[in-house]
Amino acid sequence: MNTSNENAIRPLKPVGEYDWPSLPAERTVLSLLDRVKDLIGVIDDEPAIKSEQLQRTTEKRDDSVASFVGCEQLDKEIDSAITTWLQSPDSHSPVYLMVFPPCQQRNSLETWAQARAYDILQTPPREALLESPVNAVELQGEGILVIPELSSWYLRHRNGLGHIDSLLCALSTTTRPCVVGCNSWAWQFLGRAVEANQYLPEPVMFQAFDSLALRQHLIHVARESDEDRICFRESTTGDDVLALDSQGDVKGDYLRSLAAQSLGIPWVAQLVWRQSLRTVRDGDAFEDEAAEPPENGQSEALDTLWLVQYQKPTLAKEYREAALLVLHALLLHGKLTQDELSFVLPIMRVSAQVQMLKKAGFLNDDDGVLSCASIAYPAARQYLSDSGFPMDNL
Amino acid sequence: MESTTDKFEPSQLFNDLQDINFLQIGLILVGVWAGIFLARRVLPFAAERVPSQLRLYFLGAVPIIRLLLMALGVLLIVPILFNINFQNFLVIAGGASVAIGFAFKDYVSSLIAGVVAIFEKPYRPGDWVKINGDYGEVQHVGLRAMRLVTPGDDMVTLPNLHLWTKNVSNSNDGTQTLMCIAHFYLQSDHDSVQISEVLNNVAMTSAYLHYSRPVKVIVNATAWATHYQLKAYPFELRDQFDFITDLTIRGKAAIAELGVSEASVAFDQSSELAAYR
Repeated sequence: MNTSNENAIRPLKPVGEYDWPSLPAERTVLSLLDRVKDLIGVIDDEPAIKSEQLQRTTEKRDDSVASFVGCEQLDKEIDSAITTWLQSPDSHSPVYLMVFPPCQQRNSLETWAQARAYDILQTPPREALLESPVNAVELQGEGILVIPELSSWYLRHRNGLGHIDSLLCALSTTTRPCVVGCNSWAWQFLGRAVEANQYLPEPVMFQAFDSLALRQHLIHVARESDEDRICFRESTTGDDVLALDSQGDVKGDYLRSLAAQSLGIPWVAQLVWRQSLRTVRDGDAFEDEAAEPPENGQSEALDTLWLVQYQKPTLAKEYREAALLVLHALLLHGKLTQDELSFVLPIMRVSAQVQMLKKAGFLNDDDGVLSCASIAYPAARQYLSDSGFPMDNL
Repeated sequence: MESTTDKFEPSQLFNDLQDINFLQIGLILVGVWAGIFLARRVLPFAAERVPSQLRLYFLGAVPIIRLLLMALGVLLIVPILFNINFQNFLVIAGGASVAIGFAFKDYVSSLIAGVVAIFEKPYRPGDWVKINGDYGEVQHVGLRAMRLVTPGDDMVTLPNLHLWTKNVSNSNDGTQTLMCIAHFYLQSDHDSVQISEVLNNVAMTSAYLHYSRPVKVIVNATAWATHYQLKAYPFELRDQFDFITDLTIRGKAAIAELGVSEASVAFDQSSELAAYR
């Protein structure tokens, strides 16, 4: 059952006002306690189901219960924001800038624009970004023009800022309504390197996905599948994680914890969710006397999927310094090949760092195009912050 | 009525041997030593593992904890050994003054400078300082001396006494960053505005750049070259040499790309070059 609170469209907020979801206090204390118990070898209380009885779900199953269909809620929020902007008599700027956290599997703004058949400005090919002279960017035309990702318009190289300069100049003089997207790390860099914040208006971004917003998103991605009657239960407590209490609030701590772990970013949360899914091991009968019908809007449970605690990836301390330079460069650019990485980094053995990061689960390699793995983003962000790197600002 | 001479009769300075609890003294010494040992091991260990913003606080706490523990130890031991009253205080102070005046003047001066260094903070562990021609990262601030490690990995021990007489140049003064300068000497027949813009871009696109600090290009015309100083800040103190190397390599490549030649210096001009640096 969805509450009106869940379905409400949340307005986009100015960048800098992101409300970082925090871990529930009880879960923080319990996880510390678990670490102490592990250290001194104390066996924990009996879980609802033992880890030996569970196995990883197949990728096909993951795709059916947590498919990458995009975030319907985010699309609605963008729709609402753009409508308000276009209708507002106070809106002086023809440019609307949205900042997104990095590591999207599919660019939200581009998907949104394609679904509404808006014009999308072609980005220059990466190999052309170091070439000069740069031609002026043409923004003429009718209707809304969408520029999905500013990070595709530059390379962090002394000759790699010409195209973004040219685009910013064009945006500063255009009268055509333009919706511009930028990842939060690139925005911070561009504000410094080319003073992009002087050309573009105050950026906005979506509000952090809290437990209720995540619940709605996870039900949405499960409903896209054929299997729409599944009960998702936490393996330690056995609780139905999508259940609501009488006030319409999420019952347990799992989704609050997921919101904190994923920094309130829906695409990160969905990957953590997928990674945590388990099913009862083949041939292992599991009698569940405490099973209740799911409360996620379906009438009867046909199947139970279990959720285990997700373990964050870690980086070995001895290689961290150079590896973090690679991760930082990838966050600034979104995606880069290994050759492009060597352009934007100081002299170092890039390939060794890339291999190490891939092995540790921090990088995706899509046919030679490297990007920071969405699921590893919270861990990567923490490492970068701890090492003093210039951070993004949400 | 007591005579006036009785008033100034010195009383017993040391407590009787049988009244001195040597076990207690031993325990205090061991306790203080253990506390100092722990602070010196645990805090630097923790400093390497906490977020870099907290590193200097952890390192800076070591000398303060050591001083407090030593003062506590002295305060606890002195009443056990000495019979403290006004007359005895004068005797001890007089004896100590003579000893300090003749034998331990420099040593005590260093100790006092060590205490001053803890509170005035001209240098703290983790700072990059230049004292008496030696530049390096402060590893340890003791009561008598401080130790710094130079970029050439030499360990230099400097008595705190230098604090009274020498200039102490602290590059970061307890912050996480410090200014780095890359120097370029170019032959004079070029467009200085273009070179300044290119060098500015070089700094702006460095992987080590601290975003919230300024980048400056300073140009000087000298008799034999145009001297460019590219000034910027890295986000981490320890990256300073990597940052300067990165700026220098990419700066030279950018200048070469523009077809501008670097100035070369004949041997007999080297002293002039040194003066500019």
